[in-house]
Amino acid sequence: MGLAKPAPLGERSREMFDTPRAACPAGRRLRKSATFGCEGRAEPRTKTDLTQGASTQWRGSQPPGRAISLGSPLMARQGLMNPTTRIQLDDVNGQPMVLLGDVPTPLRIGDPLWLRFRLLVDPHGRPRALDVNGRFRVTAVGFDLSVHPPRQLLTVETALGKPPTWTSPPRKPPRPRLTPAVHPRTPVM
Amino acid sequence: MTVTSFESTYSLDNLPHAIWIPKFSTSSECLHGSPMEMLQGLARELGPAVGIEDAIAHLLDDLGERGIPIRLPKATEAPSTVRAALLILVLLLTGYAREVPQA
Repeated sequence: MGLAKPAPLGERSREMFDTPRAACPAGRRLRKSATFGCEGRAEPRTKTDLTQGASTQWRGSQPPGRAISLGSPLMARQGLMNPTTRIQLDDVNGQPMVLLGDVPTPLRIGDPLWLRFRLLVDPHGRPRALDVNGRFRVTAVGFDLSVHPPRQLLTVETALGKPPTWTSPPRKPPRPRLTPAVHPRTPVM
Repeated sequence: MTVTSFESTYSLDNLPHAIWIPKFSTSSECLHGSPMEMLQGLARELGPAVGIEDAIAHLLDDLGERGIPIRLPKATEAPSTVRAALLILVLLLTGYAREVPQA
């Protein structure tokens, strides 16, 4: 085989995981709902309600996760059967990332994916919402097996229409303040 | 039809005995045996002084360049046999490697 020289080893792959991106807004994580679907190859179209099991998070605020220990090959097997999936929306401002469970695996580059969820963040006291509802296409696939459960890393881009944009949800009107009670002056004798 | 998960064809208990990495190799040579033996064969292809861990790192680098980032447990966290099996499984799951059909 005509292969390149083996050194340097492992540097670029480590950078892909460890390099933070400054473009991601930092904010409080909130989730309203999340559903997804997949259509592609031989798998049937899927639409699963993940309201109970899904969670969302931003890059840079991931929990460290537990590493697969030496005595847990069974856990690794179970995890690989049904890994959590980290989906990065590549064409959305800030490239937000969501962590979903029960996404079919393995997905390949080019597979269509139906996503529907709502992200609510509150960076610096300014609430912003991202309504994702549409068809996306997988542009990159990876796996992170150093955490448990293992993660499938997907990068997706909008397949149809415009990419979703952040909006500012309308604020609730402030509660009216009660005026101070007016008492008659106490006569001083 | 509501589906919560898909069962993959491959698992750590059901790895093929021979695989082929078309994008990585210029020849039609296949890697045979257990995951450790496959990586030993790959290390031999890379050079006489290349070990299994070097072959794993080289594969991970090449995958990263192709937009398939893979992160394995560190060598201090899992033995080479587990790392080799995980790597071979992920290569098959991502379509980077293909199973050689048995005659």
